[in-house]
Amino acid sequence: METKNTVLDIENLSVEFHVDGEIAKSVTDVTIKLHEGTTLGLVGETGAGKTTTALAALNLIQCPPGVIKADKIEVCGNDMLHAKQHELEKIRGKDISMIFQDPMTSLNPVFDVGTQIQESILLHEKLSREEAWEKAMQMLELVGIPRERGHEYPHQFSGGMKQRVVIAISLACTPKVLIADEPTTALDVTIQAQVLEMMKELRDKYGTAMIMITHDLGIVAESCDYVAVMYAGRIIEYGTLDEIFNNTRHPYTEGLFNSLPNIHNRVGKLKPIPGMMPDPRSIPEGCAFADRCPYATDECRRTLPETLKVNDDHVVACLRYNEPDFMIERSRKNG
Amino acid sequence: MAKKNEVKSEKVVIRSQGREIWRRLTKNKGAMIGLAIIILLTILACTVDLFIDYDTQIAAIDAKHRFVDPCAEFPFGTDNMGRNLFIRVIYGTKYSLFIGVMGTVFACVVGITLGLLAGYYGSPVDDVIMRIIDIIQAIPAVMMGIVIVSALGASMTNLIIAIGIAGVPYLTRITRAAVLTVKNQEYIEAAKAVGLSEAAIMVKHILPNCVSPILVAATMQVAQVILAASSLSFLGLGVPVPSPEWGSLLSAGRAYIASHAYLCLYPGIAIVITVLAFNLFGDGFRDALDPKLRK
Repeated sequence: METKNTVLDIENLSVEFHVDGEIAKSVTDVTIKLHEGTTLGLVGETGAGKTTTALAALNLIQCPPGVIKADKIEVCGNDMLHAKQHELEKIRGKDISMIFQDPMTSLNPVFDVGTQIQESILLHEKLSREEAWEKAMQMLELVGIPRERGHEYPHQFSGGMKQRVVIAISLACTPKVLIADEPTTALDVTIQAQVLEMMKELRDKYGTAMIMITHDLGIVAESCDYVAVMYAGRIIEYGTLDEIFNNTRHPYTEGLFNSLPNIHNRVGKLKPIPGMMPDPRSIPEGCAFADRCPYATDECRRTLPETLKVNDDHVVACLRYNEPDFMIERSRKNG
Repeated sequence: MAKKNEVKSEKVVIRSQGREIWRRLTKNKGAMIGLAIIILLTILACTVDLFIDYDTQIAAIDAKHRFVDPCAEFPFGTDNMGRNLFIRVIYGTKYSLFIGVMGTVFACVVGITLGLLAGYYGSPVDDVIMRIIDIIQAIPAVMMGIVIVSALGASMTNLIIAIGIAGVPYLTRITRAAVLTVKNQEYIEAAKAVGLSEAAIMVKHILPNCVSPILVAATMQVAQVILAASSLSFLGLGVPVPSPEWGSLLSAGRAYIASHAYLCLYPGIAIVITVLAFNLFGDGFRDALDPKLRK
């Protein structure tokens, strides 16, 4: 594991938003290490802080109202936290790039798609306009769009095609790290599969490390090596794909799995997690999940859980594991 | 399959963006009429000095031909000093168009810059700029014109500056409003994620998306400027007297409107046609620039 290059290194990242005298803690103490060519799935409910974490990795949080605190944010050895604006501009797009959630709005409507891919190439590589255009057209073909369509405008493309263009833009300079923020949420299922398949191919081709932000566990199972489960701004469970899926430890992760329809048991009712995520402006002092957790004790509401090591590939933040024989239901069934 | 693709690729005509806009513009009859009139007026404005002699045909007084009604020799008639109104109106194109366009350019350059900065950076830059704009807007345009022209002296340049400043608040507001709707779009964030600098984002990504409302505003501004220039000319603060600026022709004819209405009619028609041409063209241009309206 240590032999591979670390391309993204985030240590104890916290992001707060100071609005109207109130402090919203969006992300708290998040540590992420990403090695070359691996894919991390960042899973969690809406508002868990997934996108904020991603934006912080690019140092794209608006300050103010945002406040970023971290021991370290490094992309390919570049310190993102203390870099100057023009240095950041060099790193963004070249070393780290991001695919946004909604392909409908992440392309500029007044430029044709070829120009938008070309722009990103011109910015980071010393190429003439013609060479950059040629490379843009190659990228377009790579994502399965004929080069003749390079002169067309975003509104002439379907949603799936637009997302391909967005992917072409973010991969144009072969970044080491690619953050995909729910890249398939806005697409229908058949196109989802195509886009995911294509992203996997491109990842393998270029050895790009990826963070896949999603709330679809199916996508995680299909495309990720590691999984981090976020809840109320914290990573509450982290491990390899196999560990998280087959050796689930955290009650919240269990809740996520229980919320999925089961193809083998069609009459069984879904078990959604009751309640709502706490307001980021008033996160409880104990475990943030305690109020919704079927296993919670009074102790859980008072004490913030430490991160416990399950094994080398798996950590979990749950207080109950201090009790030697505690086990959540899903693990009992699987184990 | 490969052959099929080849056939397809031959059919695709690759057009540049400018050519595409032009193609859409030519389909709009109103815009083409407007453009034709604007081109005609521009050519006229640039060449009047070649075929009209200012001293003998504009400024000279001809006592024999006072108040001649429109006829073959004097298509628009003559005024109280026997001057050929047709030639005066034609010559006036030069002043009205130049003042209209330059006043708008001045308002646009200042207004767009301020609006872009205010909209993009938000508070506190926004607050400072917008409060200054509020103050400028609180002063009536004509009064500001009077103050500036009487402070700097009556000349065409000062007239343009005076009217231009009065138009700045409108363009600043339009630009700022457009920037505010565009700057939170995901493609702006995407542009940042790709590593574009702030200046490049403002000029290359935000501004082109704000072009339609600014263009419409600028078109109306040309009309506004021509009207404001006429008002100031009427008050004697515009272009010095014998020069046949349309506004001053209109106000000169005002005294004889009961007996010789044509003295007001023709300069008025000239103003209406010019304003209409700019409006038609602006509308068509906006449609052509918006790819979403493309069929």
